[in-house]
Amino acid sequence: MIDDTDRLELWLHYATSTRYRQFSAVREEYYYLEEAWEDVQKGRMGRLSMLSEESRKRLKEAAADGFMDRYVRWLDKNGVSVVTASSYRYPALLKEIPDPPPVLFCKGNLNEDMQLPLAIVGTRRCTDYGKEVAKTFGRELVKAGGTVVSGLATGIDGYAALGALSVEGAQDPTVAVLGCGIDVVYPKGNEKLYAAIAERGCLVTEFLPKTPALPQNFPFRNRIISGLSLGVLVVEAGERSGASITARLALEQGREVFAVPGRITDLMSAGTNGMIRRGEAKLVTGLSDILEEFGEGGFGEEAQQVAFSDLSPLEQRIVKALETGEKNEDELLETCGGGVDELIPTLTGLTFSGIIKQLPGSVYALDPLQTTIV
Amino acid sequence: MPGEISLAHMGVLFLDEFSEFHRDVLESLRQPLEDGIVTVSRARTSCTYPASFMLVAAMNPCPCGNRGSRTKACTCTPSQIQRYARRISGPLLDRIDLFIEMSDVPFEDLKGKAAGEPSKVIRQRVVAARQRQAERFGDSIRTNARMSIQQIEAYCHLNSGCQSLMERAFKRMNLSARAYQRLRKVARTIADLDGSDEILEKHLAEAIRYRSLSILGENEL
Repeated sequence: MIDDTDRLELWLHYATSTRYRQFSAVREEYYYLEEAWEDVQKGRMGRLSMLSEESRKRLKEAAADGFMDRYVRWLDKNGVSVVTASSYRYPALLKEIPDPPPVLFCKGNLNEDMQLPLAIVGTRRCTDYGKEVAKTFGRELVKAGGTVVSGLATGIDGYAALGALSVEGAQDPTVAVLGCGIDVVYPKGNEKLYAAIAERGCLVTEFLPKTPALPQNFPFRNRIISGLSLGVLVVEAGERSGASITARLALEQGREVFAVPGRITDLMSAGTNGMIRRGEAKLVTGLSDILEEFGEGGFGEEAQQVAFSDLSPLEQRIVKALETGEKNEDELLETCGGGVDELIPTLTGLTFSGIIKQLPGSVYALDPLQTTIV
Repeated sequence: MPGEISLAHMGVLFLDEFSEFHRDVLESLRQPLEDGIVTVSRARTSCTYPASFMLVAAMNPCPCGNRGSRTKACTCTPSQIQRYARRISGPLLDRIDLFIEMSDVPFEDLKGKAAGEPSKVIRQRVVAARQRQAERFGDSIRTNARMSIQQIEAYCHLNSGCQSLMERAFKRMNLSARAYQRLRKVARTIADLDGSDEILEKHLAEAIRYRSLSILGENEL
């Protein structure tokens, strides 16, 4: 429910939107916003000269009879809650950034006591590698009691959220920050994920309802993603990507930045490898690399350990062959022998045990995120 | 006039570029794949034709065709791949027993380095497996594929090792009840090809391998 103090801040936010300085200037001028409301209703704009033409126009528009009633009713009807910067429910970490958004629109439960919030972000055009890493980190972070913060985009962000949601029974596993109005599903086709996060996690945005996902919105959104989080993990990013912007904002906000390394030939790892090279990000190969930074060691599920000597001779040959890189069935047949009728069942068995994984094109690879062979 | 599906009766229906067919065309395969008949409905009448065939289909792994290739980069976005994967519905995929994903062939191999098993030898194995099936079923049916539930129960016993493997496959791959019965039939055929009376774990494991398709995982977002 939206109460009367929220209403006045909503009103001022409606007029100033992302022009935060104007919002705070008005708050400084008026200790009680009720006075501003009265002034505007009576057409006395003298004390509001710090506002731009546009803001003043919108302030008057929203002070008209019934306007705010309709606005608030619409929010209630659509299950949107409002958390203002003056509310105790406003995330403490977000308050620390230079320009915290004065109003957050939320769908779902914004946990005021968010545990270990970590942003997991990256390119929309992710590879299978990035997808798997994002899902694994998302899942493992939630299992360790943390919260995944991401940007509800396709690619890395979406997969990280999906990994978080895959942990059954987890409370508030993920928060997604939108670059559009709370009622706008972007990108199209993401309806299922949107609904799942609204139900089990929380969708957050500072943009007014119905705001389309304009390109210029995303830097604003990115600063909230990092602002809500203790750190930012970049899984895959091209040379000049939005994820790199998020990482830079995170550094400016004094948050930790982590990056997953990739092969030097992978375009989508150029950004992350570069961040590691320049010393902007800490290289991580597992969740424990992140948790230790926050003094949270000992949580998180480590990969299972399997003794090499416990494997059958054929399994050992397969593991050895895959240590030098992924191979398809024909190549494995050539290097490991054993005949198709032995090789294929053995591959199925190793896949089910989480020791290897199957990639597109009947290609197999070791799965070090799930299993360490000792 | 009977259409392609009936013309393929007792033979093979091969659909190249499977994902480029209209969805309703593909969905119309579901009834014949299950029942071996096809019902064609027109304005005034509807007519049922026999349509017992083996479906063979080929498609690219993604719109650009390079997914999984180690020599060429795939330029598709995740959402493009998802959209592509969704063109083949889950229920239709559920009725396909064997998936083989091909990797690209290096040029040296095209020149014919690896000599595989000659077709003659394979033929002997197939004939022997057919013979076993003929003895098993007498006059009722010809192949394992046509087994009824009762026949599956009678001929596709799973020992305890197979059962625990089946359980793991179910959890990992989200299999349907239909897939369960179909897996048993395929395992039976693999055992027949191996000349084994009993379905062993390795037979079932091979059957399970053929049911996994990496593109299936793309429907989750």
